[in-house]
Amino acid sequence: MSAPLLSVVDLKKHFPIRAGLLGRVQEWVRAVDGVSFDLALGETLGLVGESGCGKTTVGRTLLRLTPATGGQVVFGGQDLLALSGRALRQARRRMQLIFQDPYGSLNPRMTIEQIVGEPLGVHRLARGSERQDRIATLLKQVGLRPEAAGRYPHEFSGGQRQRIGIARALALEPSFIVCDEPTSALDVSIRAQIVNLLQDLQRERGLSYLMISHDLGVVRHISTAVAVMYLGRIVEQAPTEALYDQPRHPYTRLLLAAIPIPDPRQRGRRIQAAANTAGDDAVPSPINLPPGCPFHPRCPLYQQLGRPESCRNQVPELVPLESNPRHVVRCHFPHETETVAAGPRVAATS
Amino acid sequence: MPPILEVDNLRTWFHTAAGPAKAVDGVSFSIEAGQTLAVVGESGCGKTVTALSILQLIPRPPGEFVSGAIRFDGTDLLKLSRDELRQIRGGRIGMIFQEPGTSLNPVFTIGDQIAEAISLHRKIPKSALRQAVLDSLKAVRVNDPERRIDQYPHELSGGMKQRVMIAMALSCNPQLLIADEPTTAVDVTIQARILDLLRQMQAERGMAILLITHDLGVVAELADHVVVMYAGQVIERASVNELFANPRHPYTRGLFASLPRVDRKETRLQAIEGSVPAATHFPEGCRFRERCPHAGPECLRSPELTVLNAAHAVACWKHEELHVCAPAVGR
Repeated sequence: MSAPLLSVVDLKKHFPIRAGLLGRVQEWVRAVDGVSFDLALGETLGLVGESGCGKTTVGRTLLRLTPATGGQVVFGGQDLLALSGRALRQARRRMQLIFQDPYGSLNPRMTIEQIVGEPLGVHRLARGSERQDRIATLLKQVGLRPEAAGRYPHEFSGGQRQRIGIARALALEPSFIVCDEPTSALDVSIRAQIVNLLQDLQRERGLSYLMISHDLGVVRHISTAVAVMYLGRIVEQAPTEALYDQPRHPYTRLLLAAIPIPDPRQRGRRIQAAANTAGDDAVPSPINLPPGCPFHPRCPLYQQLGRPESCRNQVPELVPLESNPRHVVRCHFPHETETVAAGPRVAATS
Repeated sequence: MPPILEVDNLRTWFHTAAGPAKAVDGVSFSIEAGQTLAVVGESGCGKTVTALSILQLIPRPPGEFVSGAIRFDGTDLLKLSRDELRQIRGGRIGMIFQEPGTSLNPVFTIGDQIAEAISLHRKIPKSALRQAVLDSLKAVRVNDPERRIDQYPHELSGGMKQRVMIAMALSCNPQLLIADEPTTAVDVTIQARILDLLRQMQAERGMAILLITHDLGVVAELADHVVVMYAGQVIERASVNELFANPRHPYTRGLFASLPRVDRKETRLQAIEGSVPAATHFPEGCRFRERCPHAGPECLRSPELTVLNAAHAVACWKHEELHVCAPAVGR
């Protein structure tokens, strides 16, 4: 395989918490704490995890919408975090962002033509009739009529607005798009339209996506590989099928078990097991990380193995499995998960 | 046994500049004591307005109950006075909403708020009130209730707030709990705990639950019966097993087919084209026809809800033809 399109190395983003009269920094929120991954041309990496795990901050930091605390983002051979001025503007043309909220991310006072055409103006790429043609083509590609150009965002439904946001992202012909929960605000029937559109565009244009989502169903559908984040770190990453079929980290297993499956014949079992292992209603905060493995206070495997000392004292590394070097797990006992993690309750009922 | 709640031909309209918005337009269903009925549908289908109509939390004007009856344990709620309603609301009918954050008052401790709910509906001496609040927190498995009782909502996580809302709703032992998207705002691991709690509470207390949701996974987890709404109307009604095994309305089938699943890989999602029509401009006849791949000339007339068997009814002119096609699920 050739060099990846995007290579993120040890990305860190720490936010200061200031308090007191002088606003001194009291503590740091380690929102992203050493995240690394590669993304190849035309592929999709799913980035999943619960609220506050840092997945959105990863997307924003690697696009330099917020300055990174440390690390490298190598995109097309250049370290983005080291670029400035003209070189940064050039690099940014090739990477775009699609937002979660189709209502908040479009300026209500701008027409669709102005919204979709704005990036063309900023980068001085097209003017006059050429600009109009480009906009008409973009709208057509995302499934909107050319007449939409003269209308305002409030005249469109949520699904249509998300199409407008996608057209805007495509205007500069990027090779990489960060999709931050692109379907979370949409209804089920509309969600499928947008997922299909993203897949079609990827096929036609060879786009690479970073798909940030808490919806593990959408992520399974669209991703070539998936990374699971917990408290600012990737705890497991693998090709999609391996992750869903043989999850090794106890947190991944918990996440997958907690999703209600639309099949009443399976009711009760999985959810009950997940509820029993989910621990408290509060996820620990990324301010005061628990010592050792940050997941150990909620970890069912830690309990089942008799609370091993290593989980409490030693931060586990992200280690590839012997059976599949592309499957990496941040757990001291990645092979135990397979046999006992689901617990006797599930084993007895399934 | 008569049903605990019977909604009969309810029409809740809103008067707008663009004409009446028929948010709920002829909806009927019933719930037996101790059972869970799920009302499913997408944004704008009228499921939340249906729930708010039962509690009469609809501002009037612009809202209006154009027709219908809502019989709760035999009495028509639409005929009660404000005071009589207030006795039932929060007492014999409890409710929880989607956003636990905005449903709790930020300037009172959660103990004060639950105490208020209890003292409005139960005659309890002041000295016993704190204990009653503690009991209601313990009942919903809040850990460390002695500490939580004096905390303010901002000190609690989203999951804990929803647990407090449930404690409040259940503190007066309701016969019916209305839960409007109770887990939509929380993460999946917390959702699992809330769903499990609702199931335990129902088993312990035998209350009926009206569950409003858009999530078919949640429906499969909790519901005994399901009502599918589209554009203000009930388009299909069935027991949960029947609906998931044999959905008959093209819209219901479309919903199932458009779901990306965690438990298997699909090649391409089957999207339902178009979007939900505005409540002021529903099409004539079948309201789904403009998005329906099977629509024909007969669909220009409104289909009635047709009973197929004891557990299943559907409002579609083509349901017999569609029955022959491959079902949407279980491929």
